[in-house]
Amino acid sequence: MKHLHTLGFLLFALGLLIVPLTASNEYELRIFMLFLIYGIIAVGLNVLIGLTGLVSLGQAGLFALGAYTGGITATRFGFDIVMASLAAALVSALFGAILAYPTVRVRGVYLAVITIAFGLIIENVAIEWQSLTGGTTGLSSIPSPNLLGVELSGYAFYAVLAIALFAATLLTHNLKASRYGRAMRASSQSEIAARALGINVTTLRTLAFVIASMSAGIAGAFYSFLNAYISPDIFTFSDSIRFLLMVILGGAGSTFGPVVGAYLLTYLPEYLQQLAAWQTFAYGALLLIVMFALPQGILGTLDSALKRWRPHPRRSEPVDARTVTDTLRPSAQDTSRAELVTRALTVKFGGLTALDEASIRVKPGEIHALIGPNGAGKSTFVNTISGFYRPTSGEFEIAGQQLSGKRSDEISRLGMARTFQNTELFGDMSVLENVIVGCQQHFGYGLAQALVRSPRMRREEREAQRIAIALLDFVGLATHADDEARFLPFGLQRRLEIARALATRPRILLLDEPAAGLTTQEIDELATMIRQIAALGITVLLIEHHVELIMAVADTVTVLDYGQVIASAPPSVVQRDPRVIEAYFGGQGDLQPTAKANP
Amino acid sequence: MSTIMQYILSGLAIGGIYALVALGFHIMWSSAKAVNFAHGDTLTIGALLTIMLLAAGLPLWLACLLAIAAGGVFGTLVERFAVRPFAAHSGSIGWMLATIAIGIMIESLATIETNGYSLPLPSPGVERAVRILGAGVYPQELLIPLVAVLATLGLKLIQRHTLVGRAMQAIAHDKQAASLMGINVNAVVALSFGLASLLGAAAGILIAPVVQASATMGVLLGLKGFAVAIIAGITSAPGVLVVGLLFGVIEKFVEGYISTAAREIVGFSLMILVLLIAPQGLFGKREVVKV
Amino acid sequence: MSDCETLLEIRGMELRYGAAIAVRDVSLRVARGQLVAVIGNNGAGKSSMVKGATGLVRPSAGKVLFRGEDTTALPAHGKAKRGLVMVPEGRRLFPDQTVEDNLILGAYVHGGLKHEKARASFDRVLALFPRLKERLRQQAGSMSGGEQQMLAIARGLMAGPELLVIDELSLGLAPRIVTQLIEVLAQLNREGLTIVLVEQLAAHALSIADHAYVVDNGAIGLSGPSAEIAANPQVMDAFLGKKAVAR
Repeated sequence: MKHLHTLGFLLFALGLLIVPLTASNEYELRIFMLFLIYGIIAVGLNVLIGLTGLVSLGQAGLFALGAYTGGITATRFGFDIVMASLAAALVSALFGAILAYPTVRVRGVYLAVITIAFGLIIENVAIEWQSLTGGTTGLSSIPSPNLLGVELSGYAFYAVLAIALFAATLLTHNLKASRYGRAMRASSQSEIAARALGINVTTLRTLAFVIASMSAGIAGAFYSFLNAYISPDIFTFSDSIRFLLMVILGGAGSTFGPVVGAYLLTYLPEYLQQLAAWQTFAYGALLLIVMFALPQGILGTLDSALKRWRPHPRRSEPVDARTVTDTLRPSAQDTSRAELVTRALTVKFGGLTALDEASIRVKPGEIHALIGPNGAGKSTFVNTISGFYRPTSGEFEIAGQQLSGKRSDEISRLGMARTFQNTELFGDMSVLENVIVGCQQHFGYGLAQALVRSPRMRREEREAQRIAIALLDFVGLATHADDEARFLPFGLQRRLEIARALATRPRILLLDEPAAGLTTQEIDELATMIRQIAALGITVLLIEHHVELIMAVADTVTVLDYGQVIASAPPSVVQRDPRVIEAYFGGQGDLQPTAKANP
Repeated sequence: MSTIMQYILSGLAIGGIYALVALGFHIMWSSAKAVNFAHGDTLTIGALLTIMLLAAGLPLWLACLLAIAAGGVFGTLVERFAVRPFAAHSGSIGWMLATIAIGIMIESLATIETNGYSLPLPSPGVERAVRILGAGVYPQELLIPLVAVLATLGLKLIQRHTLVGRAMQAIAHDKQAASLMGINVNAVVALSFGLASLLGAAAGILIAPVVQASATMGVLLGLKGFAVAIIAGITSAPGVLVVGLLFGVIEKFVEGYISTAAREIVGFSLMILVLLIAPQGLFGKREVVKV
Repeated sequence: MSDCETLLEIRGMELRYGAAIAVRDVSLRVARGQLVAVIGNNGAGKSSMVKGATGLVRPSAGKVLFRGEDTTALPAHGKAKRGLVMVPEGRRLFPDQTVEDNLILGAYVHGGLKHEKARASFDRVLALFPRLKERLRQQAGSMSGGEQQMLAIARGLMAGPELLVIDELSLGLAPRIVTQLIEVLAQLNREGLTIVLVEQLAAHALSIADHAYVVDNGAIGLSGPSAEIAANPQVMDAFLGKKAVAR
């Protein structure tokens, strides 16, 4: 795969070198330059669509914003091409951030609508603000591009565009393989799991939208130089659709997909010209056909075919893996073992009290089981202390650190990790990547280092990979490292979730019904694993129904019933507690003789 | 004074259209947690079909009825073939893109059919303007907000007093439980898309005599309808009505005192602002995230 | 029992959620007029089993026959029409709608209250649960848990079921109310209604059932007349673990 990408970049560079030499006239070169500009938009938009799974239908608006910024700064202040595109990038990024932040918190659909609206706002501002934009007549006589005062020839301008597209493709490719891209993909596949691993999903989505906005802005500035004239009617809703289609047609999420899509959709109109009025119809039809027949796009489909034809070789035993003890110990040692305390924690949904003044103390380093009949409030408890529900009253803390009111990603970063009752894996990512997402909060490299694959980034990524392999080895999944997570058998999916949670290097680990759906043998293995985790100094809170498992591993058992704590003691004591038996059987009537008959 | 009255009355007219469109979005969203992005085009379908049927010699009432029915069929088909196949996995953007694609195709077909011209739709409601407190309006314009109010009330009545209305509410709340009652969930969802589109087609026919019918008339109206639904909170029918009418009036004032371009800027900026402050809309219910 | 008409028969049913197998090779038979208890610990697969039977989840293998007809592939609404009605776990009422609306929706298969039969059921369930009669115009979500469970059962009865499946009757209810509701089910059964009661509180369910199935880890561990099951020490194991009995 890696070699394939290197080859791809080489071919791409070669193509960019050859085209200007073979172009027979200026018009042909111009069309190709147009493609380069569209390519920049598509490559940026791919970060949003392909990585975060969100859709923007307003890229034309951001493109226009960049074009006007570039055009105006060049005309008024004599900015050269670098300064003008920087200004365009800045302005577009700013608007992108303002636009994305309120929207991505709500729903993906809203972002689509908001971006359409934004496109219209920009179009109308361009019409209205005549003194700046020239209104409907547009902005003409944009000077030809210069670099540091030296006017660029046609070929030099071509070189600028070609380098820009090549760089944009390379940078987004690097981004995709970095912690940012990984976290973006993770949050599009399971937002709650991403949050539970300490990822701030809102920030990340906003970042993706800002990147898409910036590239559209830069492309806009280039466009204003290429065309030397811009007016509001060049940037319409159907252009936004076209940019979107470029990404989807080429293959959202793939490195070269958007470039291929942009190429096809730049040249397609040339061939569709004889269709005249049917041209837009053809666009709609094409989008529909792609949605049904080629949802992964051209390169995505090719990629799947390739994988089927030549699947990944099984990974051999880890060569350079660190041991789990090395990995997890230091973080557990630097503070004393963590204690979880809740005080009178109450959660109400409407009129229903799901959790009623629950005060629980999970002692440092112990394995603490939380049990109770269905509907007793166990899930509510877990979701509250991991930050997904807000408590109505009461508070909770880890090792003295107040947590109530904190978001789930903040709580995760303070040392609490969890698994989910219904496994929440990142299904389209590899087993190894799933675990590396868990390492997210321990990376130190920044966005710039991610984009250029700095030595620090590579070192930290290698280190994370080693840790991840060690963790996979610990849960017995090392040979599955390159499999796609969704194809794992269920029992192994549960283990992967545990490995992923451990990758955050937690001080306390919440296991939400880890034995549900497992076979008896798998449950035995799970018991061993839980004991090993506790031996590493990690406090474990186990929410479970499988009594065998609880009896086998728990130091303390807390029983919830009707949202209240009715018992908290060692398992052997709890087992004989009449209130617990009552809660589980609903009276001691018929079963009482049985229990007595077998002393 | 008469200018202000003028703005209010014509604002209520266009606001009534926004409310009708937004009501459609509300109905679709409630049942499917997805909408038809080509909903604006049902307005175009309604208006242009009426004109075509009139040209074919049908009486106005029959032309209107047939066009509205065709709109309803369109909505049902969109649900069946562009929304349902993608709505299975939540978070899918497939239905969004598929319905947008259909919208693009409808629009270009309409453009070819009309050669890109705007066409008048004759209506007794625009033959003569009436004067109210110095403002001149067509009876048609007075009719529109009335229809919007009646449609909202009608929807409430259907929900309260008919079995299918109760079923729609039940589905909005819990699809599985509804199916346990013997309700065919898919059929009712398709029906609600049909109902939304009936309202859309009717809105198109109502507004066409005032603004003229064209291939692109529905696009902006549809989008503003969605903006209204977002501002009001897409879960609230009465909220949608109130915000729709208000949105229309505010627009007319901005248009009158500043300009047409400013109208769009203010309207859509308002939507973004509301989302920033109250993500669930002014009258909407907050959705609880299930873990 | 073999001379009685078989109402529901499950043969070798398997149920999967993605990669997870929730139910494996389950076979079960319910005769007309019986009250059958399905008991087992939380997460044992009871709910998945009845979801497979009532069409909420499609089984990945096996057959579900209702009144002799193969209904395996039939969705839930089709089964409800044929008289296989379920009161779901957690009640799943329509909380924003009134008690009356919920009951009318229960009679959806008869076209609401239009049908004489549905009106008769309406009077009958209100006689059965007088508390609901006082609260007809109240929003269902504003009632107490016990009243909500009453409404859920009443709503199920409105369809005029041949077989009523009740999933987790006792969920989140106070013991006193559970006892009351159990008594109501016993009465309904005496009047001829066939009932499958899926319940975690085994003692309650066994006290009124004719026949019981014990579900453990997605499969049926034990089955037999409920008196026998209640006397079987292994049942206790399935709930609190072997050592609970041994100590």
